[in-house]
Amino acid sequence: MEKHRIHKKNVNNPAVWAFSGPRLFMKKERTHKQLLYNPKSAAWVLAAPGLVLLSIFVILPFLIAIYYSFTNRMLVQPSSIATEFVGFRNYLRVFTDPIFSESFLNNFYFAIFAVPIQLVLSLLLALLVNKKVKGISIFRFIFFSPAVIPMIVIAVAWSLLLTPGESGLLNTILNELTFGHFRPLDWLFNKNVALNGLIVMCVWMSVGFQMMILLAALQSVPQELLEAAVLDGANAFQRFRHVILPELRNSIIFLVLSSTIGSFKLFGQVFILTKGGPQNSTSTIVYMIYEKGFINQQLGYASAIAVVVFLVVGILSFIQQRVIKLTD
Amino acid sequence: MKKKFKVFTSVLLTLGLLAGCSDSKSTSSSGNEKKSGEKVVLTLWRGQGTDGEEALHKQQVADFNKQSKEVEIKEEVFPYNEFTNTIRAATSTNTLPDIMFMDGTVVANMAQLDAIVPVDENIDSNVKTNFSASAFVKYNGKTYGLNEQEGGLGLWANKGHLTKAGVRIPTYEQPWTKDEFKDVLSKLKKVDGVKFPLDMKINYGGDYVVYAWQPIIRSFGGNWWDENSHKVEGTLNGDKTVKAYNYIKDLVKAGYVNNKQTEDTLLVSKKASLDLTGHWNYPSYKAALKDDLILLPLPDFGEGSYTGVGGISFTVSKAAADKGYTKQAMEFINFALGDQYQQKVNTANGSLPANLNILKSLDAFKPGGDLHLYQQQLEGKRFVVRPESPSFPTFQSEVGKATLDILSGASINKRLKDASKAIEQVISDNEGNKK
Repeated sequence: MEKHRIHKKNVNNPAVWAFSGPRLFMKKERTHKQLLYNPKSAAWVLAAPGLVLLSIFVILPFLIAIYYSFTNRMLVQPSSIATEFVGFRNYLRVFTDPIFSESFLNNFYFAIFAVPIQLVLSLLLALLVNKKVKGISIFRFIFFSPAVIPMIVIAVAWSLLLTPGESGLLNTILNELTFGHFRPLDWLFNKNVALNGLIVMCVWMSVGFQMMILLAALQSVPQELLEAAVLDGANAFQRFRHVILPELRNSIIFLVLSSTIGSFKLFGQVFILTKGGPQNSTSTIVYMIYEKGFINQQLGYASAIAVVVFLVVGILSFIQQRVIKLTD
Repeated sequence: MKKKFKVFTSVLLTLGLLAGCSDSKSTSSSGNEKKSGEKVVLTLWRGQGTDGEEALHKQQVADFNKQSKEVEIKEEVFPYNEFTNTIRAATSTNTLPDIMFMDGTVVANMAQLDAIVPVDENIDSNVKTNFSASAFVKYNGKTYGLNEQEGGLGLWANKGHLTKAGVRIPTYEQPWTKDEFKDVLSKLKKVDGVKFPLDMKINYGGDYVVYAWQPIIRSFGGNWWDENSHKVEGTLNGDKTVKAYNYIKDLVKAGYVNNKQTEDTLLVSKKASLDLTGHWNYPSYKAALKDDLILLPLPDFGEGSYTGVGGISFTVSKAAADKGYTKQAMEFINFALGDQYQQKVNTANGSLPANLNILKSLDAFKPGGDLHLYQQQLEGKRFVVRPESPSFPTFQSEVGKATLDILSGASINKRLKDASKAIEQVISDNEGNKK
């Protein structure tokens, strides 16, 4: 009924008439309109530009990567070698390469430590800068600033901070703060510490951005709820635990999911600072893909790693979502 | 109406974007076919250099175009750091220009991809007879690239420190020996202000090792690969290479080399006495140390003292050869390698002109000159060449990683074996199973 009325209204609209030309094309015009005014088809039409771009630049390359992962394809294929199917050779290499498992564990280690630390720190910062104090926006700006500095600048700055030995900046600061109890670390030169160095840096980098998201969520916590809690006699911790935290739930879920996926995409910091060393202690999967695909030109092999990673990250996100739903 | 308009424009924009993507292919190669008047127009691609280099290269093209009646060169300049990726991308889309000025280490890869052609037949006699042997970049025995300039690698030293320590100053004829070198380092370590006497430029990262350590490894009798059989296993992890690594590790253990170095100016700030770098540091070191700066050959660890070479090469593309323009392209390259430009190479960027006669005639390279050693080494063919292999980037990355791992405590034998296996795999992937 509703649809029909709209349609009819438009048919009688002189402006539409004037534009749609001779009556001869009337029928075509009608199907055209149906396409646009039917909510289902209109959705497709409007989404088309985005979908086209997405399929060309994301979906299609991914399908090609799946295809390449079963071939001997090189980055630039020499004319003397034909692109051939090699079965599961590339996947066999992935699973027998010790560097792959090391890289994978590094990514896990990174996610397990970086994600919660980032979240807790950014929550604390958000609570702090949510206080209505004069000049607080300056602190918000300062804490947020790492999010707008290009990664390469951050990495170079941190390579200076992480200078090994007693003269290193971070070493000196930690040493002073602990009254000499902190022994200088070799940071990026020691295989047992290097990944931690990267975690420290990445946490510093992303805390500001996460703080901003949590701050926005904090500010949308209804004031009435907090007032009601005060009237009910809830203390500050109880208000945080039972009123504020539940209200932040969605933002926290978003941050956990996105930073977990981000942890598996760790690349730039590794590329600039350590190149995966020393002794593969900071090698990550994406760095490995880069190394195989672009330095070694083994595109087929690199594609196989990418496919494996896609599956793993997909499964991880799925499990995370399930867990979140269960706790709902 | 409004909705319709929105849909229309978004579809139009999308189509425009797609059209934009497919268009770019056809435009860049079309310039090659065009003839301006009677002249054949050839395109030259190169990475952007320093101001001095830019002036020299622009001059070459301008002068050539003025004097040639048949050929005109049109140059296109790309960001230097991305140049290798640029030509690789152009290779996969068949849009390479006629002439390229590319890093010598990429030449073998491009040759294997059939993107460039051998030029042996069209090399000018001046280039053939006067240029250093290292200037001819080869793949499978044929010359694909011609270097305009060469690098020099040795030990920059603080003469004041050497006299204070009371050690002999080595020469081209009589470099330090293996045992003498350790003795020298132990004496230099005692000089005031020196913490680690030998600066091996660990701060340059792993990528530097394949170049700077090769003369040392070669002097022990080892190498990154066997230059004749092209086998990596057995050479990279062979006894002699392992011996070289053990020796360097001893230097680290004794406190002569800092394996966690991050500073770049140790020689200049007089915290180190010897510095393993090349010609490119000459201007800044000279300015800082003045007459205290001297250039020393690397020690002879048993099989002679060597330097490392390398440069940027002129190459002719397959596309130019297919059009029958190899000769015309080489006409320009021979012209650009002519004496008047060779004379300017050193002032342009401090490197060594590949023409040995010109090199000899420059004051800095004459006997008594600061850089005379480089001339002696090139003339005497005391140089090593990095693997001229299509998989060179893998050599660079694997050797670098293995070395840094070894410096941070990994087992030498195992790590070099792993590296050689990794390189062998890439080589066999890259070159197929040659029958």
